[in-house]
Amino acid sequence: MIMITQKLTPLWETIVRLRWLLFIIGSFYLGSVAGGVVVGRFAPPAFQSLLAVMKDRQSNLLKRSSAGFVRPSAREK
Amino acid sequence: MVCSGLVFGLNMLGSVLNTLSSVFLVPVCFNLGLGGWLQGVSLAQVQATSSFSLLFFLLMGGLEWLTYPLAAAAGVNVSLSVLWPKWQSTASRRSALGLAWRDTRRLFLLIAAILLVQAILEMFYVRQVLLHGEAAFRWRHTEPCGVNNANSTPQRIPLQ
Repeated sequence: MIMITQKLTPLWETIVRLRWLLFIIGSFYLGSVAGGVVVGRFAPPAFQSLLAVMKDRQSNLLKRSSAGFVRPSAREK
Repeated sequence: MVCSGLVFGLNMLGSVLNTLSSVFLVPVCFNLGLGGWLQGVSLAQVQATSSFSLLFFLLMGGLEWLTYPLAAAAGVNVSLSVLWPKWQSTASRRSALGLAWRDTRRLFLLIAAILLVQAILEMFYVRQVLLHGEAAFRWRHTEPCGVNNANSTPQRIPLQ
């Protein structure tokens, strides 16, 4: 317990010292994620269909790579 | 356990690369901006069949996403210390760089701890997806989904 506290104190000190940098970078990142969510949800249908095609391709790739883990009976469905 | 180790290793490598690219200041905008935007787009497309599944996914993803700004901040801190030693409240570049390196080590300790928990959670989630299909976690009131029937007990799927 004492060792963990000894490790955490300098870490906390660093986080407090870099709080503004962390805040600015974190805000930028959160803004990017929020922008992506807005685009993903409210983008024009043409763009969304493009995203759906990309997602399908990714999903097919995943299914193909995980086919070995699925029962043969389930694979046929 | 091996898979968790692999996930942890890959994510750690990603964090190191993120920090290294952030040292040059400009790529941090590209890395975080484009990466965050793409994650946001895929987050908007997430379809979970149970609330718990969605919460677990967000927890798992949130832990990983938390490490990106931390790794980027470590890199930006190093570059700011080199460009502007007063950033570390010292006069010489050498000592500022030393202090920045110390900060980076501390931040990476935190990143490693977060990614370790995330890797274990991710493997647990993937295992649930392989057992129950896309629902991952079956909720009592939801319809069955995936390769298993809701009435049957979860079974290990033998490797082919």
